[in-house]
Amino acid sequence: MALVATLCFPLFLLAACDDQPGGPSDPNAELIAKGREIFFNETFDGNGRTCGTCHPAENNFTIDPAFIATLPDDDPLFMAETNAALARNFENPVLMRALGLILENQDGFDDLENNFNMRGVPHTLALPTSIANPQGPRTGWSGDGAPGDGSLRSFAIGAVIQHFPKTLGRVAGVDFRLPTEEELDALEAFQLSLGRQTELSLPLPLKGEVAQRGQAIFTDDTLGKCNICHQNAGANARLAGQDVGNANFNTGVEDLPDQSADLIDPRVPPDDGLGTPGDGTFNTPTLVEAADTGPFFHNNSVETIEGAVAFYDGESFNNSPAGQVLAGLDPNGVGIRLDATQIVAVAAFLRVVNALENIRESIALLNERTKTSLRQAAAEAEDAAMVLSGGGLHPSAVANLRDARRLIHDAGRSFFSKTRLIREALVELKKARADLIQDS
Amino acid sequence: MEASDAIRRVLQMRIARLRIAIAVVATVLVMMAGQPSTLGHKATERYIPVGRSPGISGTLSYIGTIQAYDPAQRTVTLKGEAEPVTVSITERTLIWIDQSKIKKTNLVGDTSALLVGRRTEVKFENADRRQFADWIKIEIPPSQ
Repeated sequence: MALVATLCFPLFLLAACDDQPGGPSDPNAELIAKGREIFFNETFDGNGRTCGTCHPAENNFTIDPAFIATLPDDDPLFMAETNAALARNFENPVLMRALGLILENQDGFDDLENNFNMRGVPHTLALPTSIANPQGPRTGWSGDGAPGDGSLRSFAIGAVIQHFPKTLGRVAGVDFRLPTEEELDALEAFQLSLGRQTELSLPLPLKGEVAQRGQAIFTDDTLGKCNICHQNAGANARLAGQDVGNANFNTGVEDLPDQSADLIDPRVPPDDGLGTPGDGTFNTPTLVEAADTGPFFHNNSVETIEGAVAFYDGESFNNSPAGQVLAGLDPNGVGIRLDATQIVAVAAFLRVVNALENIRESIALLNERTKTSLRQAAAEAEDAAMVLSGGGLHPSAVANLRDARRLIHDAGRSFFSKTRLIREALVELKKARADLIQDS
Repeated sequence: MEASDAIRRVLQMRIARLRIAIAVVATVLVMMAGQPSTLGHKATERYIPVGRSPGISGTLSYIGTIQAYDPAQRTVTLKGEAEPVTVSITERTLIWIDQSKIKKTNLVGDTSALLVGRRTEVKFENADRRQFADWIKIEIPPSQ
């Protein structure tokens, strides 16, 4: 018995080490780990939801109808279906399941029956690059999602009040508890640690001809004009030669005809965007992470990345205040005019940069070697494959990515071959990357 | 002659468009500059008890008990740990009744709730010029 214990002890040590965060030590690692724990497990004595209910790690920290369809009926997301106190005016279950929309009371809580907005759930990736503005931080779809000082740190308090209460009385200390200062610090650190930490620097040396052409259109301020408001495919704008940070614009999304939410439930009021009453503007999201975090726009009104690019060729955008600004800057008075092949090319570019980010993240997660990080690394590899195959792009990279996903999956279940499987997965990921972009 | 007229017309058109563009861009920038420095979501602010507003309480706000309310001047004077302050209530000022101590939902209030002795938090409209109230939270104590 003693011999068995002696022989097994090193194995237990190995297994114990397996779940320790690896890689270079981050001075914030402890705070980030605490934030992760709170983000996914803390209900703040509310209705049972956590931050992770609407921002699940396994779905790129957002939700969509396909993901929602995989959840059990007793998932806290469906609180309005299971809790009588929240049955009315807390969520719209039909629109939640059909379109992934969440109910928000941006303009106050005095007329819950009529005064609300239905919005998609923005992912929480690359936040260090996407919320800074000279006038203050921009959070949420209209940029004013946080109470208090409006910061990302304060956002959690607004989220608890809006989404976590046991009843619509929303009494602090009864229907929920407010996060403590320490919890706010930890939540902020965790959210800031997610995904990309720096901006891309366009143009990238892409290999695919269609994506290359898409990048050229994207960065051409006289054609695609995308780079004006989405510098480096991010969330920051440059107007009249000035960097204006993460800005708000009225792009006319609310004017789109035949919107799914209106077709399903005509009672949904228009969303007036930033402020109370709103000024019709919405916050600019980052595009690097777009292709695998749809549906698109604040109201999930467009399902595909191609559709989202095509929006800017339409009347709703070109007649909007933002479209008119672009037309005013154009020598021919044109806002954005792209043909179908150009729309597909821009979307292909966005698919490829998204896949490159998935690959970068997957490699980083593989190096951490924890069970959680391996699960996420596999999901990133699968996302990259899905994003590329959805646009008919880089089939050999797709095959590499699917192999990588399988190897990572096996690594997560293997005790003795884990290191080898991770090494082989890294090779496949690097092959996929080499198919998309020249080594810089 | 016709060629130079055509060039002149094209130039004039371009200058006109450039002016429009500059005007539009300037409008956008002015709109952006005009936005408040803090874009806090005031809707959920209502449900945050006195003294708990993140990044505001203790920095951009003052917490004290009401010493006086002047309905004619629409000013309220608070006395807390720091020097007393007097702030003006504008049409933009939001007033909330914080009932969390009595475990009831917070309400939208008005100046009639500004009673002497009540613990109150005032957020200033501007960090530098502290004469106007952005919002006021008036706490209902457990005994009432």
